[in-house]
Amino acid sequence: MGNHSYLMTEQSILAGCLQNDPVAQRELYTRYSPKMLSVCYRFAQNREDAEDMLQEGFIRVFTQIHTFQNKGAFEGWIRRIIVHTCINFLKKYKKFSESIDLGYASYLQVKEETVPSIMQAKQVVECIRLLPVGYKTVLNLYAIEGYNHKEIAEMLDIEESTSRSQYTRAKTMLEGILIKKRILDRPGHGELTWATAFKK
Amino acid sequence: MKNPLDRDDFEIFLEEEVNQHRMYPSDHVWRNIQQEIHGYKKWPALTVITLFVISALVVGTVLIKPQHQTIISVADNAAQKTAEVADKQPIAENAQEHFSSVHITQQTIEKVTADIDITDNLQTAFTSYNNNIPQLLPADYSTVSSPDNFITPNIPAIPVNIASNTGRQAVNKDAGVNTPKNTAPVINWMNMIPNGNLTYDGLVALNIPGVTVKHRSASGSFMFSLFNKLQTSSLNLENNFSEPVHKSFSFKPKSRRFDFSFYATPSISYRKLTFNQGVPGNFYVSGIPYNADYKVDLSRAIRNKPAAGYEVGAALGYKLNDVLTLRGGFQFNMREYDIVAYKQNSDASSFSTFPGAIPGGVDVSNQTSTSINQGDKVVLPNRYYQIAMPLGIDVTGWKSGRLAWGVATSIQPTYIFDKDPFIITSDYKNYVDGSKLVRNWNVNAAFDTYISYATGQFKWQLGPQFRYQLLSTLSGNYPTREHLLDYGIKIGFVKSLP
Repeated sequence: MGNHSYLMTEQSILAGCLQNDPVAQRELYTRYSPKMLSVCYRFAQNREDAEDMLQEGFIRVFTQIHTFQNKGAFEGWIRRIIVHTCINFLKKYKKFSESIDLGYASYLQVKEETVPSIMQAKQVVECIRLLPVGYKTVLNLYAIEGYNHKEIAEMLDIEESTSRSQYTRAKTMLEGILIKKRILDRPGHGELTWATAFKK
Repeated sequence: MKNPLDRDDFEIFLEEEVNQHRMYPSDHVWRNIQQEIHGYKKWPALTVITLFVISALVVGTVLIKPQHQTIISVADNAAQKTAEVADKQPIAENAQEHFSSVHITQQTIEKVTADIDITDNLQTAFTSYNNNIPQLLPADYSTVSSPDNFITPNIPAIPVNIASNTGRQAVNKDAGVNTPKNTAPVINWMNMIPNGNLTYDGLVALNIPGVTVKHRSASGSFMFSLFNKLQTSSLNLENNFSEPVHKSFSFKPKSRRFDFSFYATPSISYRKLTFNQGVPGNFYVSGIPYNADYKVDLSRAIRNKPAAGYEVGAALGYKLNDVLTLRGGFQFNMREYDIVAYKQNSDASSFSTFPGAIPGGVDVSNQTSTSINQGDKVVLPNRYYQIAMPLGIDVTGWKSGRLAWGVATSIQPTYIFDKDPFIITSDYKNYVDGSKLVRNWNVNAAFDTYISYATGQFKWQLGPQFRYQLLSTLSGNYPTREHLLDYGIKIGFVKSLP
C-alpha cells in the first residue's frame, strides 16, 4: 500500500469521494481498510468472512458518503457502517444465531499454543476471536465499539438483559483466556491484573 | 452509545490493545469494490485494443487486395500493341481502316469505360501510347480543340477521328464544328498534362455526334485504354442518331485521396516537474531550526536519467489537396525514464531522493558523499505503456520530384493501460509507489518534421519527432505536476490506397 496516506487531506478525500473520484476512493480505502479489517476480523469466523464484510462495508461507505454530515469524526462514521455491516452479515448468514449457545462457553478449552505470540494487540484480538460468536459480538459491541446494552439488544434482536448477561460471561471467559495466555496475571499472583497488562 | 466514564479498566485495556491491531486486506477486495462502484474499468482498454487490431486487419486486407485483372492487361497490351503497330504498313491506312469501320454508341462507351481502371503501369502505357499514336494519324484529320483554361501541354495533342456511317448531319456543339453527313465525327482527345504522379490533370473530352463526354482529372491510362479499345476492337457502332442529342455524363475514376501510413519511433523520454497551482515554486524544508532552513530547488532535488522508449502506429490519411492531409490512427507507446535514488533500510517501500536523507530528516544536500547512513544506490525505472489515437494534420512544405519535406502535428488522446511509477513524496525526500495516483487517460501532442522520398507505391519518411504530455501524469490533487517529453526519430512509409 505504501506510506503515502499523507498525500491527501481528509477533506480532499471526502470531497473526491463525493464526486465519485476513484483516486480519492482508493486513498480512503488505503487509509482506513487496515483498521476496519481488524474490526471485521473480530466479528468474523475467519479472514475470508472478514474481507467479505470489509468489501460490503466499503461499498456502503462509498455509496452513502453523501449522508455524512461532517458533524463527527469521519473515521467514526465509517466504523459505524462497518460494524453494522458485520452484524448484518452475521444475521444474513445465520452465523450469529447458530452460535449463540451460552452453554458452549463452559466447555471451552484454551490452550496456550492456539494463540501465536507475535504481539500483544494481535494476541488480544485472537483471544477475543476464541469466544463464541454471541459472546464476542456482544463484547465487541459493548467493550470496544462503545454501544450500550439497549442499542446492542436492538441491533441483535435480543433482550437487553440477555446482552448484559452475555457480556458478563464473555468478560469472565476472556479474562480466563488472557490469563492462560499470560497476557494477564492471575489474581492473587502479584500485581493487579489489568495494571500488569497495561505495563506490558 | 454508553457514557465513556462508565468504562472500567478491562474495557479500556481491550480497546487500546485492539485499536492498535491492523490487518491488510487482499488485493481482490479493492478490485471487487472498484468493480462494484465503477463497473469493469478494464473494458475501455480492451475495446481500444480490439478496435486497433480490427482496424489493422482491415487496412492490411485492403493493402494486399489483388489488383483488377485489367491492370495487367493494359500493361501487356501496351507492349503488344507497340509490336503490332510497328508491323502495320501503311500505318495511316490501317488506322483509318480501323476507325472508319467502327461504330460508336453510348452503350459502347459505357462498356469501354466500365473496364477502365487506373493502373500503376501508367508510365508504360502512356509511353507506348505517345510513341505510336502520331504515326497512326492521317494527315488530314481534324485537330484538337482545347478549352481556354488548359495549361500548355508538354505532350502533343492527340487527335483521333472516327468515321461514322450515320449518313446524317451531326453537330458537335462543344467543338463548335458542324460535321457534315457521311464524314467522320471527331473524338477530340484533349491535352493531358502529367503531374509527376502519372495522373493527368485536364479535361478529357470525347466528342461524338450526339454524345459528349467530359471529365476532369482523368488518368492517362484511361486515355490509353480507351484508345486501345477503339483502335483494335470490335466496337460495333450503330450510329443512328436521328438528330443531335447532347448528353453528358462523367467517368468516375477511383479516388486516391486516402493513404495508409505505418511508422515507428525510437525515442528518449524525459520528464518535467513543476508545482501545482497554489504550491510555492520553492519548497522550504520544515522540521529544522528556522535559521537553518534550506531552500529546495525541485529541479536539483530530483535525479532523472532519460531512458529509451518507442512508438509504433498506423494511420489513415485523407488528402485534402496537394499540401494538406488529415490523419487519424492508433499507436502504441512505451515511455520510460529512470530515477536515481538511495534505498533506506527502514522502509523497503520508499527510496530517498538524496544520499543520507531519512524520512523526516533534514539533509537536503545534493552531495554524493558516502556516509554511513547512506543506503544503496538504486535506479527506479518509471515505465508507462500507452495506447493513443493521434488525430492530426500533415503539411507538405516543399516538393521536388521524388523528394519532399513536410511537417506534421497531432493531438493524441491517450490511455495508460499499464504503469509502474515511483513518484516523489510531497516533502520531496522519498519515492513511493504512485500507480494509484496516475491518470488513466491523458492527452499528448506531437510534432514532427520529415524528409520523404517516393519509391514506387511507397513514400518513405524520416525525421525528428517531439511528443509532449499535456496533462500531469498524476491526478490534480497531487502538489507536483509531471509532464513527459519524448524526443525521437520517426521512420515510416505512406502508401496510397486504391
